[in-house]
Amino acid sequence: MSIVVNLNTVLAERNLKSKELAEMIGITEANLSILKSGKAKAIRFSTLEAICKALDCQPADILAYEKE
Amino acid sequence: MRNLLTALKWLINFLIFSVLISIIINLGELSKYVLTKFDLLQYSGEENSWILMLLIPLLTILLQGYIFWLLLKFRKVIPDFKTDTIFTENNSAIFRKVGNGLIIYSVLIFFIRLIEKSFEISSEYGVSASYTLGKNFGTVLGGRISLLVIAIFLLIIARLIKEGYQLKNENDLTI
Repeated sequence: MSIVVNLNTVLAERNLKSKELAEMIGITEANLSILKSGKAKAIRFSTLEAICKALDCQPADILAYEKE
Repeated sequence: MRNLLTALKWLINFLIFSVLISIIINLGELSKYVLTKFDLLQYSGEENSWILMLLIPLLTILLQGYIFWLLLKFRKVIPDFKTDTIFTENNSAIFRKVGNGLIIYSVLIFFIRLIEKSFEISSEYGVSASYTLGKNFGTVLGGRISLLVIAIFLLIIARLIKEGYQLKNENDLTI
């Protein structure tokens, strides 16, 4: 897919672990893993909002468009 | 829903049983003809063409065997309906197979019955051959229409299950 999720980079910048983020935003680690691996088909605005709130970032910091 | 599924399961079991009985009866008729031909059995019934006595029952048995196999396949879907795992690729494939199988069966059995009917001696006198053919065609076709409608419904359900599976998959992968 041409939309890439840069969650790993943002997490590394914030020195946060996936487990901690999952707990903060209230989703399972398995779902966060799906999101990070790029297997997710869609992301809810509520999830995106929670991630942005928890990581204090903008949606563009997490999501990016790459030409295939 | 559970009661309906149990009823469906029993109906399919009943159908499987009746197809099996029908296969056994046809096998009996076939073996009677073969044994008579080899002078192993004395049969006092009327002598008919080999097409009517051998080919038609043989083809009917083969088609009934095919329907038996399709029903056994269809039976596997019911436990999935009970456990709410309806929308799977496997279920869609089973419905599609059964639907296509029923279309093949109804078309083939239509021709078999038409051939069988053409051997029957008509009790009506003074009617043309085209009238008899048309009448046979209508009678045989009338019996197959319902099966074709069921087959098309099954193909539509197969398509719905496939679409449902894709939607479910997308929903599962929405975070």
